[in-house]
Amino acid sequence: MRFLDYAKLAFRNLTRRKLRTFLTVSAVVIGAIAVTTLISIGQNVSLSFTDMINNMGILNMVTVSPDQDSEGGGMLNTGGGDTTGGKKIDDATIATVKKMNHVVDATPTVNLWFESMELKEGSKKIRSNIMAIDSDSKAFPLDVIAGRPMMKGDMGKIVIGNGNLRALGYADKPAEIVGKKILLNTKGWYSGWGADVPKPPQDRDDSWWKEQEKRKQQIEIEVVGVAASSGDDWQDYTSLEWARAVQSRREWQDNKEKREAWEEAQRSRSYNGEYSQSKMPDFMELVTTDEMAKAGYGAIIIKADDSKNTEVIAAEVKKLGYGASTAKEMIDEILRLIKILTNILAAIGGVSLIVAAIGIINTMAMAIFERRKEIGVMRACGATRATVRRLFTFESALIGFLGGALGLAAAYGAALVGDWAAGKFGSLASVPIKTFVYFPYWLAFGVIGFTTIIGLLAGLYPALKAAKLSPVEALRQN
Amino acid sequence: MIELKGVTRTYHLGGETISALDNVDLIIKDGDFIAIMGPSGSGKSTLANIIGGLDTPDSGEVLVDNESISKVSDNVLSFYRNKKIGFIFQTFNLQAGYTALENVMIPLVFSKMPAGQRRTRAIECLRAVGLEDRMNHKPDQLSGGQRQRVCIARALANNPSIIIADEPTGNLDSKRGEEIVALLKELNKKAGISLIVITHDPDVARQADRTIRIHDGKIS
Repeated sequence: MRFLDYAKLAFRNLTRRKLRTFLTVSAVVIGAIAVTTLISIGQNVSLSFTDMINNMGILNMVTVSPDQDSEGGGMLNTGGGDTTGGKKIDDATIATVKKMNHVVDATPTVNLWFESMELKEGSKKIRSNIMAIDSDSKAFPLDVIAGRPMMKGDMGKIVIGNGNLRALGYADKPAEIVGKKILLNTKGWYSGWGADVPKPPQDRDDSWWKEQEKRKQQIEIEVVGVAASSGDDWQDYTSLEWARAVQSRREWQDNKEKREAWEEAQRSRSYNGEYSQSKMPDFMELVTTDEMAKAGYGAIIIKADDSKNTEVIAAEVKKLGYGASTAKEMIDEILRLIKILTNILAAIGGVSLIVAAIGIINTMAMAIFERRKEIGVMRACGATRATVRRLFTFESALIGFLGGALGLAAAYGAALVGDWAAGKFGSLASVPIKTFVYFPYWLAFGVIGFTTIIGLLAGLYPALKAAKLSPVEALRQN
Repeated sequence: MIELKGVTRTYHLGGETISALDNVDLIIKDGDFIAIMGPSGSGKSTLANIIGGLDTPDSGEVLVDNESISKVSDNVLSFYRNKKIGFIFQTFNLQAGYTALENVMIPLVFSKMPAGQRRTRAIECLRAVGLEDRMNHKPDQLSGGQRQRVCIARALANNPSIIIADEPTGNLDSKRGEEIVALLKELNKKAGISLIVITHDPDVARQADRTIRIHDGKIS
């Protein structure tokens, strides 16, 4: 028998029992839809994620952290200048890093932590996550979609990120937020830029200090620009110079020299008999400490000439005793997780295909039981056992094939509807899926091939039974 | 020429051993018209099945044109059935839902005849049984006699040298039965096809060149 004859005969036999075929194929269709949709979603997430990463342009970035052990911290975990552990990152480090092979540029970063921030004109309090970068550096070029970019020496100015732009309700009108005043709510003990550091009264006691501890302040800054969607969406940006000022600690300290000089003068006056019990003046002075110089930068972002070379740079950096992580590591890890998730989803879809396979076995076993006489006639007319086996296997494979093809078509249709709905309700902004319609060739062929093979395997046992049937036995049936 | 030498075939039915054929020797010459008679369960169908290659003997040998078919592979035996044998059944065994033409084409499909030639050959066979004007009818649109003619046309499809008919007139009234026997005889005489007919009907047997009587698996 020729292939085309098998196909024709199998198709004909299937159409002979329309309802049963329809029901059996439906089970495969459902399985195919499940598998296709779930894999497609997994692929979408994976692709959208990769796209997002590419748009962020961080593929050729290397992040240097002070702590060699915290390399898993991930990209853009740029630290807050906390150097309780690890090696201090200072200007010398940056100079060294910039001289490394494949390094295009590097910028130190410092994260500034405030409790929250809000518009001065009134708004809800939103998360504040400000990162200071070297605005002249090519390592982290910050484009703006409104206002102006950061500039060296900017004090009390931020370029707001898209996350906070949305949170403040300016998503559609980025230009309008430029120039707005923002209040940063500090933690207690804040004494950096813009803080009001009251001079301790002479009759200060513990309660005064306690009050200072609790006293939170608001410092006023200005939005000068809106960052183009890149990097961490929830990040706002500012200049290193301002970060240094913010992190500076200012405190009133007793000027010991002056006090001692005064005491000396008092003593000599007393010695000279000029007894006058004058009150001791206050020798408290406001002293500024550059904490950033002491603690070092939070991290360094390095831009490599090519994403291929990030690993090389990371290795170099690690030799210096710092931690280094590339976006690639993190992306690979996330993609791996997405892949595992996709596989789990596919397996869940696969369960429905197993159920469909049982349906096929049942249908074929029934068909063969009913068609024993027909099998006998075919054998009498010269069909070999192999022909009978192939014919029934072909028939069940065809059930799988039809189910797969229809399921794929249905899933494609559903995806189109999904896209339309998503477009209509515009809720995709927060979902990292651009489109539900992602059916690469391998998925289409894979699904149809897979269901066909399942059909074939499911039909194998009944077909073998049919082939084994003795023609005399088969013909004897009434 | 068909030659059976000491052919024995036993069946096991529920622990009981039934001897369907017991050491049968038989020679059927080319172009013979043989009637096989005997009571139910005597082994006449088994004899026909073994000659037709649907069944194989437990012992003994079956030679057709000097070639043994008793211990050959399924492929060889199937090829033999396809090319040399035409089966005609009491209940016609036509494929419901297939037209007369399509039914006749079934053996041609198994003989791998190119699709284009099948139709021509099937029409020829239907013409030979006088049914060319009914070739697009399905079995349920045909009378009993017509159905048996389709069955004969199907048996003729691959130009067999032997036609084996198991009670070909059993489901037909006597007039249609006579017509069918006349048709088979015509094929036997004109085309020289050996004809082996299992029958209960003495009128049919009378027309044969030779009648073989079987009783308890033995030719008497």
